[in-house]
Amino acid sequence: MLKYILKRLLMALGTLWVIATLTFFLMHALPNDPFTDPKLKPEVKQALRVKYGLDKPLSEQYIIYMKNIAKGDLGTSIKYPGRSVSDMIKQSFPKSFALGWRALIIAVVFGIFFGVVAALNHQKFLDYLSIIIAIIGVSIPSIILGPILAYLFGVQLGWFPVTVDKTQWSLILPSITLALSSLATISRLMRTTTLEVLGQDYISTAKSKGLSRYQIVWKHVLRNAIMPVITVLGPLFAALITGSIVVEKIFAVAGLGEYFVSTITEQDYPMIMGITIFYAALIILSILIVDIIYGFIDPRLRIAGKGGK
Amino acid sequence: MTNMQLDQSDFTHVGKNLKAAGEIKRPSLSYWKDVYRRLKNNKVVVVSFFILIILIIMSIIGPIITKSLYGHTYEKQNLAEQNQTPIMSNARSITLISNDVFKYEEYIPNYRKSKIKFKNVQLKSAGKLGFKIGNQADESWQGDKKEYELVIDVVNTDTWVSIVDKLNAEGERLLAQDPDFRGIEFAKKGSNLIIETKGEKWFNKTHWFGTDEFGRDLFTRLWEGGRISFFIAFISVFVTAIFGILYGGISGYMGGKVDDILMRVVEILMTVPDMLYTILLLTVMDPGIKPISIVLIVTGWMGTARIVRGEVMRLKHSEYVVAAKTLGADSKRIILKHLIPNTMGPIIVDMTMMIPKMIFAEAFLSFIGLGVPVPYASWGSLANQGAKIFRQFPHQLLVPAIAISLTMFAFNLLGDGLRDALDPRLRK
Repeated sequence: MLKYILKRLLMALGTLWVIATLTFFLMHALPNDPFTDPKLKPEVKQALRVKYGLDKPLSEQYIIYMKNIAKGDLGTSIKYPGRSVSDMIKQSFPKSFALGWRALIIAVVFGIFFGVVAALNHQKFLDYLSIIIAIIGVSIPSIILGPILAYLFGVQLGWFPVTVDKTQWSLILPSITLALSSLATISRLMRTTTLEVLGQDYISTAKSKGLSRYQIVWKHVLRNAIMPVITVLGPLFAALITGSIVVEKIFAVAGLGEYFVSTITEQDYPMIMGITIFYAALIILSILIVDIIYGFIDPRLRIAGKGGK
Repeated sequence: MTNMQLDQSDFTHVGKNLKAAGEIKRPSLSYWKDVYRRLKNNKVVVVSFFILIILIIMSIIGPIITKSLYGHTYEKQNLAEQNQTPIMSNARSITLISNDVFKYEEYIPNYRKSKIKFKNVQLKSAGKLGFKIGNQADESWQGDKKEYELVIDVVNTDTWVSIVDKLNAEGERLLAQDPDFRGIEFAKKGSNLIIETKGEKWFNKTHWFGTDEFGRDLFTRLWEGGRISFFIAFISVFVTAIFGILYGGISGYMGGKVDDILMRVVEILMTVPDMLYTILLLTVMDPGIKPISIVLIVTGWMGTARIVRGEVMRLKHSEYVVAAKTLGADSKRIILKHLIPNTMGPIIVDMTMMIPKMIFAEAFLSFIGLGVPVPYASWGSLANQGAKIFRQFPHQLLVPAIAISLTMFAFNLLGDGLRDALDPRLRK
């Protein structure tokens, strides 16, 4: 297991390096650089380029940047002078994360619940209801859901604030907006896997043993049906992270997603690199963690692993 | 249960009927005929299919209809007709002009101020309470230039009930004086004061879905946007599928080292946040239909490649491929003639599911301001525009929102139906 984790970690580092390199050269392929303001005098521009090391040849810049990254230094922002990229990330990421983990919990808890309820009532009213909810969930994009929720529950009914402030209450609408499509994905997956498990022989055995419906569902069905859902958690988390860019815009959250879009359009090189590497690392890490957890949870994999060595 | 008594006399020997046994009862169905038959019987699929056909046809002919009837084009502005709604009304606007009487927490007007709500009102003191009904500047929709003043005096003994009565009585007096006033109604519901003016309502005959903030016809813009959104979605899915099939097919068929390398590349590309490359690529190229399609292709082909590879891996050791190899078929022939046709099922499902994703991605890009440039319309840019003034003019978001959601809905249902129909295991 340890060997496996080490191997995966090394691969993750390699992936990160490829991503950083690709981004670096793509970014510098942009026709402009951060100092395109026509009001700036050419001498000033040149001085600024020298200050940020942009006058050096690209390959040299690349080597310098990679050395700095290896030391854990992401550089300083050009657009927000004097502020280091890691500080900016430290400041804005918690706001995105606050939305992200709430959305993840909403999506997982309700998604599993709807999926199991649907499968247990196969081809009955509740099943169709949850299928409809799931399809609506994937059909209404967050760019539409967000404003409509904000209008209905924020403006008309006045239950929730329209923009995110310091209260917990204000995070509910954006979290739901962010969660809905993932919720739909999970509930569809959960419905399929639960139906599969319900058809297995060991469920018939459990029934014939005289176990109660509750025990069968809780001990046999849920534990087996939940496995595939765990595997999609990693990519799902990644989807939530990128999805939050839109939600942050709708509900005026000063999170990392907001910065991400603005830094790219402003061509703030160190910020683009920093946020990209951060995002990529986050996604790779979350997928890795899910894979490792999966190995621990699924007894079949555990036994197979031991048997193999 | 009772035990049944059976003896031999209950049964008769019918004998063999070789002719009947050899008869073909049902016409033999090829795979695709069978798929078609199952699709035809699936009501959800048929309905979604027709919804999509209608949406696509409307995208093609919609702009032509309004152009020939009224001369609307997607870019023609008419500032005299800005922000019209599909259902027009000549109800007058309400403005608070003097208020000594009450405090309120929030003032919520509807888009034309013909209905306003004061939230959590509280009586303050006696004095004047006055409203202006109508506004000369709103002539275009209220039909005339008339303005009225509705003022009452509130004394210390007045309660909310008597104040509302006084206001309504004053309204009726104004209406009796001049029928053009059209009437007004005051009501206190809970702690809110709600005021609504009356007027006739009629369907907007020249702008069926209303207009936007520049007076451009939304019906025309919606279907013009449909052209662009569908075009981007179809072209990207098509190219994505071709590239994905080739990449996945080669990877799966070759296996070994080649497969390892190709799939590692896919894995790495898949962990990169799509958004990043999308935005970077869009800033390198000038905004328009072409860069958006390229971006969607660049970020979308990996999924297809993986599916195809999986299918090819599964099929390449099957008997008929081995047979073809034994007969001396080369790789090209095996891939093109045997493997790809047999992986068509999952690929078609994947493509159907990709289209709504592409439409969504396009909408997403337009929403963050990287979509088609003005004055072009796509569904995403319409939704983006509508979302900004959603509180005043909900129809400007709802019109593209319904179109996007309906399309996604129909494609998703169609994809589900196709998946069921293409899966031979579910054959009845």
